[in-house]
Amino acid sequence: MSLGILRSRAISLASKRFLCTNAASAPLPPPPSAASPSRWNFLKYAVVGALTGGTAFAGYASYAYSLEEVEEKTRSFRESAKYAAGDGATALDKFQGLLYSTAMTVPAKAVELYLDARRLIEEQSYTEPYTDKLLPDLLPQEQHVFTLVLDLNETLIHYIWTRDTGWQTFKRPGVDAFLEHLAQFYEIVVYTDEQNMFVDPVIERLDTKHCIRYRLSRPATKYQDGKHFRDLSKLNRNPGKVLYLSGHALESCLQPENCLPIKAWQQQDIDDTALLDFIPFLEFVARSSPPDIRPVLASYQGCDIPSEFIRRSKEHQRRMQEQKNRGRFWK
Amino acid sequence: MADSSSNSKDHHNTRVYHPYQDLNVPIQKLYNLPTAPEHLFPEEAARTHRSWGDNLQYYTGSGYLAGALIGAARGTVQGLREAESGDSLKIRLNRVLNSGGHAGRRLGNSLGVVGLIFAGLESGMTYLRGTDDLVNSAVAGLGTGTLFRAAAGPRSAAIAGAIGGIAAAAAVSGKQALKRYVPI
Repeated sequence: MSLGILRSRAISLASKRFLCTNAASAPLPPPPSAASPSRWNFLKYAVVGALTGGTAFAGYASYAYSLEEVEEKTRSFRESAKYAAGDGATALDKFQGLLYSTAMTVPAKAVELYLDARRLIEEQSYTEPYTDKLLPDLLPQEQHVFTLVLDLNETLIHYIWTRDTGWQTFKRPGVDAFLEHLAQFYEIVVYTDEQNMFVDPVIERLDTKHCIRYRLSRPATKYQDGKHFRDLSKLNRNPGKVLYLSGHALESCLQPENCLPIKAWQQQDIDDTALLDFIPFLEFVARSSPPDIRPVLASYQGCDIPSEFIRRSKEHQRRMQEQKNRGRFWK
Repeated sequence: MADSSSNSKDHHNTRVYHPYQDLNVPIQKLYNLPTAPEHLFPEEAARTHRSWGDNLQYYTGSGYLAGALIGAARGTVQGLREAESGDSLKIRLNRVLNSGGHAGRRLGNSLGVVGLIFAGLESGMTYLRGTDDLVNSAVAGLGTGTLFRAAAGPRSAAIAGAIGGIAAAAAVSGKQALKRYVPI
């Protein structure tokens, strides 16, 4: 360390000599004074260029990488800026390490500042639902009732914009009958990632018989990995009695074990009957009232639920018929 | 059930569907499904032309923009033509910019006002007559020309009205012919 101190003093002495020489030569010739403005301009442009490049790089890093990725990639660089002399290091190695750590301190500090600012911004965003209880408490006489959570776009409706006709919103075939029939058995909730000002007029038109009890829109969703997810655990309902029906069920919900995937609908598919096909299955679920719906849905995983339900019903009826026949044979 | 076949009013546009038909259960529920896409907002689908607000913005904005571009181009050419041999580059550039800006602004304002008047008159005609056709556009063009030149005297107003009516009728006919014969 004493050698380092001596070298620092030598550097400062050299710079002093340089400054003395410059000061001594300043008043004598006019041409050196003319060179001063160009030097200052160069320094100014260099600083502006460095700031611009740094800003552009920070913007690209924010766009292309997530916070954890940037932290991972720059960890080794930030560690190398903190130099610690080894025991066996020579004076030359110590000096080189000191120079490197001094040179790299500013970029490392800049990266850490960027990470802190980004963490501060991202963690204070509105990523969580606005409350832990999105629905009011269930009435005591309705503790057995299942909750049917419905998506909106490509499940009950589909909207499209064309240059010729502007915005058009279409109803899925059978949506009125679907809502009216299942409101007898279920507590129906619409849970969508659209904004309130879109959801309210749509549901007022869609639900003229007030079959839908609650509407949840984008502020009620959980923003994660750039998408708005439905968090069924915050519905203030028994998770074993919640069903989520959507055209994009498995990729828009945080609890895939409660999901009922349905085919995503667009307005050109005018022969669609998927909503009405779900009525037998959903009515059967409501009438038989299993204590937990999740193992039932797990048994239907990967299948088209309405057709699989019909197949199982036929199988069940056939088995009942065989049982009856066998009983007669014995008698 | 409101959708059951006995209560449904529009049988001719629907087909009957029985979701329980594959199940041997005594439940008999028939649902009427539409045979065409069903609009959630029928007034959206019933709209056949731009609203008066859309018309106002469209005609005024496109008129001003077209006038500004044409006037600026003409003014630029005029400024270039007026260049003298002894002028420096700075003086020449200044003349071109002044001439282009002035002519563009003037013609843009004129065409914008024409578009504004035309949009108002055409929307008013559509509202009063309850239909949207060639007569509306021609009469609106006539009124636009007359109003635009009213301050310049009755003879000038009459001529401008005639030109406006003919231009509007030609524009609408040309647009219809374009849609019919040009495979866009």
